[in-house]
Amino acid sequence: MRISKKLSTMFLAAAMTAMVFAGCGTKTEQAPAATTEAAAPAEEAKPAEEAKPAEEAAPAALKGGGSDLIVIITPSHDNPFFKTEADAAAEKAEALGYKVLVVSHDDDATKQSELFDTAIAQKAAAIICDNAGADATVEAVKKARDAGIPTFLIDREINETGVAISQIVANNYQGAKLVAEKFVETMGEKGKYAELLGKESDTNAGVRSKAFHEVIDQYPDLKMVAQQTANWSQTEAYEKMETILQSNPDITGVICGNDTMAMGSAAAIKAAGLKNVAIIGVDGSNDVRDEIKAGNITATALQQAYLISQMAVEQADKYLKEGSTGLEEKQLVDCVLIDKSNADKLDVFKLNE
Amino acid sequence: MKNKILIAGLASVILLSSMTGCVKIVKQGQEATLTNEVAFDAGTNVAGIWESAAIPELTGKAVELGALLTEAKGDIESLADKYGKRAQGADSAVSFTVKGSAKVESVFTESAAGYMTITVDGYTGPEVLKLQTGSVFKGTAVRDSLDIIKFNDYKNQVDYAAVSTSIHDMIKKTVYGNVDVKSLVGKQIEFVGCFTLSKNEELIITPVTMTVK
Repeated sequence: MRISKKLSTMFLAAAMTAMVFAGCGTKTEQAPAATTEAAAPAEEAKPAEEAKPAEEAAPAALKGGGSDLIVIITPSHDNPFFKTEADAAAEKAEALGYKVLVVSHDDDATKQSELFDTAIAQKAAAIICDNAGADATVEAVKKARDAGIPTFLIDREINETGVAISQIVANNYQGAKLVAEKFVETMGEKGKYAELLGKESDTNAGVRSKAFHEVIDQYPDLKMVAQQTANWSQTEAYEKMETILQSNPDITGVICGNDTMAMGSAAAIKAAGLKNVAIIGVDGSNDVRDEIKAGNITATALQQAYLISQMAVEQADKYLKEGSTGLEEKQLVDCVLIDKSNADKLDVFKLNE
Repeated sequence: MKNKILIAGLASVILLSSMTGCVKIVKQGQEATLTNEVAFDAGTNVAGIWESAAIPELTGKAVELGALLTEAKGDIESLADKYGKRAQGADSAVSFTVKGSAKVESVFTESAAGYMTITVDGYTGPEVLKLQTGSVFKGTAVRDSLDIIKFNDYKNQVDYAAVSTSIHDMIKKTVYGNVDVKSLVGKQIEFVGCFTLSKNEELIITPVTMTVK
């Protein structure tokens, strides 16, 4: 009994001391983000130290992994949009004297994480990435950062700042609003329409739909009679549109989350013998450009893939040489409305003025 | 015996920790106060800056529309660096903040994206000048003109877009709240507003303040 008393007193004492030392922990313990930046590779420690006094306040710039390799990671090149991104980045990087490794994560966050490991193992100078998930990507970019490798994100953004060096984001919201305004105008502000949504797991599917509706829902005489997902796919869009038309043969408009679904819809509408149906997409592909010229699709929003990729590589080069891009981390690149008036000037996601 | 000691120990830890306040009971829906993951509310965000910061900034930097057009000689882009503001980088669209005394020539309300055409005092150039009247406001000229609003400060483009929508809601309320737009034809007004340059021949201005004389 005496022992147990002693023991419990010890417990109490220990617990109290622990409490006192730990305090209430959660409030103040957050390590400043800057400390992770110090974790550069060992061989780099010396020059970093020398440079330190000059830039005490600002976080030290990442030096790159040591090689002159730029790793370009994008979704699958099956979609010409991402192929253009990769090609444009590779072209610019080679022109600036870098070696290039082009790979695809196929919209799989695990695969993307492995590709970041590859980049780290190869001591990449920088990573250019169109990422596979706004939340999932944060860890991968941090990992590269800890290895001294700066990441430049293109097209899609992530839900955190201070991790990547640049996020050059295609303004999906603005682009979708722009085509929605054109849609409303073409529809004469009234009529029934259907919507085909993109892949649910892709943030941009939601962003685009939200932007469409922000515009269209302000017009009470525009009525949505069907809304289905076609997963960004042309074949799926064709099938879904066929079914929608069976129960709603009187629709006069279709809004699509991307260009491939707009292509599928246009084909189904043509096959059903319908005319003068307003169809919009988003991306700015050559296929849709040709359909716009032929009068089968109304408009699309060009996401400037070519421009964005080249900007990212230029910023990577400047950052590696000067320690700063001189720009804000998050940069929005607006989309351009493509309709009959300027479709001629569009080629492989680039508007030639 | 050992068990008892263990239980006593555990109990004391629990007791202690609850007394020191280290275990917090958080009500549902209030987790944000601990995690700092505050759900973004664009309406509150805009309401907090509109009168106190946004209007003073815009009123302060607005240039006389007539003078701007006279100086531009049909090439407004040429004044981008002098008076305009680019939302992002050198290639992006440029927005201008302008003010003026004007006469309302006509009002167009057939579309939900309504507007009125105006002529500014002392300027007779060929440009078509439109003031948006809602209820649908196109573009994001006001948000993009404000120095106090930066994309970098928002979590993502959806939040950033929501700010513009809330600004337009604010304009509906503060500029047009009690105004019967149709009754404005022929009236003299004073306004401050913003436009994003898309073509020289036609300016679509979103007003942020307007007084009818």
